[in-house]
Amino acid sequence: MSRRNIMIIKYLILLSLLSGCGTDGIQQASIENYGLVGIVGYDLETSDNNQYKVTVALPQSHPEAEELTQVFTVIDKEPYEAMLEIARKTEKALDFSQLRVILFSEDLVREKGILGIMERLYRDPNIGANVYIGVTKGPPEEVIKGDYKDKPQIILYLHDLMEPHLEATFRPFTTIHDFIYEATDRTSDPKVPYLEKIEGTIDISHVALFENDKMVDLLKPDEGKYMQAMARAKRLPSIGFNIQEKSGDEPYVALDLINSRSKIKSNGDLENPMVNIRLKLDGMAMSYTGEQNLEEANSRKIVEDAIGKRVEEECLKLIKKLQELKVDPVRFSESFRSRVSGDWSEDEWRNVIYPKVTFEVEATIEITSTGILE
Amino acid sequence: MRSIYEKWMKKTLEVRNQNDIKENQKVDQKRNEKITIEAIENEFRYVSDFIKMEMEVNDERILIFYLESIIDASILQRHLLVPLHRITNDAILEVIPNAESIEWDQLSSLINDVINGNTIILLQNSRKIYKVDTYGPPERAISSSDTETNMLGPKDAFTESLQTNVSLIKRRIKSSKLKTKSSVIGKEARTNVSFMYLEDIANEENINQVEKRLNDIEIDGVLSTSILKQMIEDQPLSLFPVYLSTEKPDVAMSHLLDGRIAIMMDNSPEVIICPTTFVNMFNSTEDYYARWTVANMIRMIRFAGFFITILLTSTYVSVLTFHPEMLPPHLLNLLSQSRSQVPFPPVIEVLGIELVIEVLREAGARMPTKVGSTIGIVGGIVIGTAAVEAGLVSNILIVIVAVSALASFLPSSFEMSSAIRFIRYFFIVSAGFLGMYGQFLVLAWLLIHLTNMTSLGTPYFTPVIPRKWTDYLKDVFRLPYFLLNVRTGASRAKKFLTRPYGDD
Amino acid sequence: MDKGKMEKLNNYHVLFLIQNVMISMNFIRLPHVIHESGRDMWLIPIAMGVIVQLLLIPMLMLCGRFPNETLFSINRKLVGKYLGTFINLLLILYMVISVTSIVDDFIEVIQTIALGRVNKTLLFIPLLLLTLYILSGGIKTVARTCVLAFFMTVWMIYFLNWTFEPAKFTSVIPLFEVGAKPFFHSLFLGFESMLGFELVLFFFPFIINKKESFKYVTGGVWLTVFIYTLVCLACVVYFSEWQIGNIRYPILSILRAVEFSFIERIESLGLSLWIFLILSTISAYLWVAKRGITDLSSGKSQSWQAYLVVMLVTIIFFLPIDRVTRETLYEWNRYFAFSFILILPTFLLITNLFRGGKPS
Repeated sequence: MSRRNIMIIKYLILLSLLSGCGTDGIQQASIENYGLVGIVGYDLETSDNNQYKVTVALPQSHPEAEELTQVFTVIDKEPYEAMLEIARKTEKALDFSQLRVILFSEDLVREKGILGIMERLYRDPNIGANVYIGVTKGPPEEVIKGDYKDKPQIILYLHDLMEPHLEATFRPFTTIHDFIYEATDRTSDPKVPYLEKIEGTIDISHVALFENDKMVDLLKPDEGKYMQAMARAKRLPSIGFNIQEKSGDEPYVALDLINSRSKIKSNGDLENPMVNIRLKLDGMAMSYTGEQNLEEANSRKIVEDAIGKRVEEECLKLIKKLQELKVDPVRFSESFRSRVSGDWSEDEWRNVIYPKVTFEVEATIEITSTGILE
Repeated sequence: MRSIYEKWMKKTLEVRNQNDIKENQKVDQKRNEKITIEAIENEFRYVSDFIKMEMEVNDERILIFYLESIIDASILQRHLLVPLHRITNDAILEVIPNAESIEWDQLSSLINDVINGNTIILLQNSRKIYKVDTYGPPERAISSSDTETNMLGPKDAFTESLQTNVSLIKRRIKSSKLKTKSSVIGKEARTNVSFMYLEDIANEENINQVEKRLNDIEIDGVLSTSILKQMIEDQPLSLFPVYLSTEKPDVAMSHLLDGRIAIMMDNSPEVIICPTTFVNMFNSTEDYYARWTVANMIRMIRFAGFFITILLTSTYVSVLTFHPEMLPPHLLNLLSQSRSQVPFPPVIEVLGIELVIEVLREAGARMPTKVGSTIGIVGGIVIGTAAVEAGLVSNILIVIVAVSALASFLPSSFEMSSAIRFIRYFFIVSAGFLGMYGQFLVLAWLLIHLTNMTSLGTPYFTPVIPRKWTDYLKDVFRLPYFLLNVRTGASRAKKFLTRPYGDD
Repeated sequence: MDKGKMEKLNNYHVLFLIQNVMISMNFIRLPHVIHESGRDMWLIPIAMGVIVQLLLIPMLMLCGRFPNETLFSINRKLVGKYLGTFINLLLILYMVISVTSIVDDFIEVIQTIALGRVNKTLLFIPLLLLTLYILSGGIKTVARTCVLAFFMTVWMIYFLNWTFEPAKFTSVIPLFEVGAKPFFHSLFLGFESMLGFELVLFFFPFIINKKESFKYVTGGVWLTVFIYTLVCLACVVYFSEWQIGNIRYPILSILRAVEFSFIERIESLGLSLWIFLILSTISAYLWVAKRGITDLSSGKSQSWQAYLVVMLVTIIFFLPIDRVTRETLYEWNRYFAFSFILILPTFLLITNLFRGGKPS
């Protein structure tokens, strides 16, 4: 018994003795001594396309600071080197453990692949897995330096904007992990929100589609919703349709609070490929102005079918676009890969199989309620 | 530990020991001496309350000795002095039936009796000695406890009198199976110690163990059961109290019924319960008085409070110093704003404020009640607010420290709550040097230490090291009463069920 | 209460001892180590479990024949005094080097992930002192540390649901996608994360219920296999093949994605909790080494023996050799372990049967 107790005391004495020699003469810092980088933006230098323009935003915590965010911009050949250059410019130790958002300019992602940059960031043990990725129209510097009314902290503003929330499910909430996964996986392509600065606010206006790590095109929010529905998002924001009715009218109906389920099935035949997509959406019907009485089961069914038809059309239209662009953000190829044994070639899929896939969409709609008004 | 200590002190101790042995021999010579009046008077020289009375009744010269301060004067008058006048010859037992005879060669035992409040009657002519118990020192009345307060349930508390304490238990458990074994502890102080147990429930091994440990004690005097407790502990160097002390008879009763042993001592209002487990220190009998739903919630809060106390402030230190990545953005924003002006590293900041709280508590405890509460308010509000405004500490830290201080007072045992507060400093300091790694090193040490501890041979950390899985139902959770029919595994009771199984 | 008795370990102690001695540093990078097996990686732990199960049979048969003796004294009895002592010395060295490699590895990871600015010595010494403290309590304290380690860390499995959320379970199929060669190669590489079960040869005499011990040892092994499989499955679903091939500590990367309103990125927390798993493993190994020294010297357990093994670990840890030599040392140690668990028990068992040894 007593032997053990001697050891406790020895441990405590040693711990207190050793504490003196653990710091190696460098002062122990704490959060206020770090420059905790919140946003990094990458852009191509306009005059020389081999140079990167890196912008970094750090919060200022001192209560008397005039600017709540410090922004530095540096031009260098190596994007990672640029950050070290910034470290020399600040009085604080630059630390990436609080990095929240990484922005790329549209020019950069269209011209060059960004996997190299992302890999460097992903390898850094300080940087988390939940850092959000965005593509900006114009240089990211403008977005970061912009003046937004009542949003004094650009880092918090951008972080909250990029965070997953229901109203914005038309676009993906791509984190650095998701991007790397989708870019390196053999069956998927990344999709990233596209930011525009419009008169004092940041608007996430589109979804940027990538082929591996290069951007190819943009999707509009409505298209984004269908893409997300097929890519198995569980909840969707409201979608509005103009449906066809017998009388020839095209009344407007919106579905809100949507729960969605989707099932992608392929025939597994690479010679004669076919994909069947089953979508099930249920939600609340809003602002319906047509002739049917939604309280009645039969007429409700008619409306549901009409909506389903529109959904199918829209989906097929979107799929056609994706096929032409040769990008696969919905992971249609996964349904083939999981049924075909042997090595899966992404190139073969993209160039040979994908264009000849026949798609079939079956959408089942269920109107759960019709709001509070008759 | 003891061997090292004795090695260091060898020289001093040895000389002293020789000296003491000589002194003891002088005293020992007195044993078994013949009783003479001179010898008695000699022994009680300069004892101012020693009274020697002489009277003559029917040709019998009677000498009476007693210590005035610890006898009850009315008993002396009514049951001794008055009847003595009716004495004929030496038939003292006829008039004072409760007198006991003493042999003439028992000087030391006679002296003992006088000290213990007996009155000695010495019949000089017929050469007989009797003693009569007239013990009746001034006593405090039974009142409610200051340290263990409760809303529901009985309010009476133990007093400093062993007799009263025994009677408080006896009136609760009216059973002949409730046994009381007594002994005397302290060479000089000669204090009465008793331990109680229910013969048909308590574990024999435990009873023998308690008896053995009490008999092994060699000391000049014991001030209180708090000291006695430290002398019969399994691990005297541990940070944790291994036996529960209670001032409440109902607590003692609940443990006796569970098959445990209660040790009580004269002059001490606290009763030791053994064996006890770690979780017992967090529970209170009020958990059983309250409805089971509420009681369960309160218990969970208490256990959570333990972890909050030891981990909350140290996590503040380690996160701010080593792991800023763990803070969500909005929390980081708040924290860095409040920390922005603080000139110290988080460790120093936390240690400072924790010590201030400790000082406030100590100052409040040593002051009269009214002044004490004022100090609390002055300290808490004035110092706290001023320190934040001056930028010496961050205001979030004040909140954290206050929460952790409050949580440390949650255990029902005061000793446990002090122990937790002490351990917290290990966590804070190691978090300052080694971040979370340090915190978890200390946590690992703490848990391993707890699992290795025993209380009267029973694992101290019991429901965690299972004795019986049913312990969870009584000690950790608290089942509704109609389901609660087991004794705890820690007490290793002879009868496991509190009522026969299968009865409707 | 059971002081002085030889038999101290209950059934559940046996289960958790086996289980937690197996889980240590190797687990933290297991999915990365076996990444060659691609999407079939979750089958590897199961295959490893079957192998371990087979290896356990001769081990426990041997133990059953010598119920009151550790492998050290069995060795000396069966292969002769000098050869036996030599093998025992090798075994002690194996235990000590294993501990050093685990501690070395752990401290390296801690420095990369959480405490880059703290020097090695400061991380090393408290860990070893705590181990010394556990050692002084004997095998029962080691077993209790294992039980504690299990319950302190098992709830981290909850965080795997962060990975299962994006429904990508189709990644798992089709089965047997990779060929036999990469599969068996990863099986070989990954097998080090199963090491630890061989310690049953040394603590077997301390088990109370020897007859049922096979059941609980098996239970411990398969509990580990279950946890490994779950984590490998999570990794297959959560990471792309490129990611698993490039991320050195996949488990920490999973924890890195955790987000709560009050805390996020708990990889430092997870790594610090890993202390429990490290402690349970190294204290068990060192207890065995100490037992070996006890066996070599007087047969009586004394505290200097614990100090000696800890000193040995410290010396090897601070030995001024370069990284490459060190890695080679650890690798050879691993090969020694493989050959030891494969050959020794069977060899001893056969020797015993040949000599017509009576099961005592």
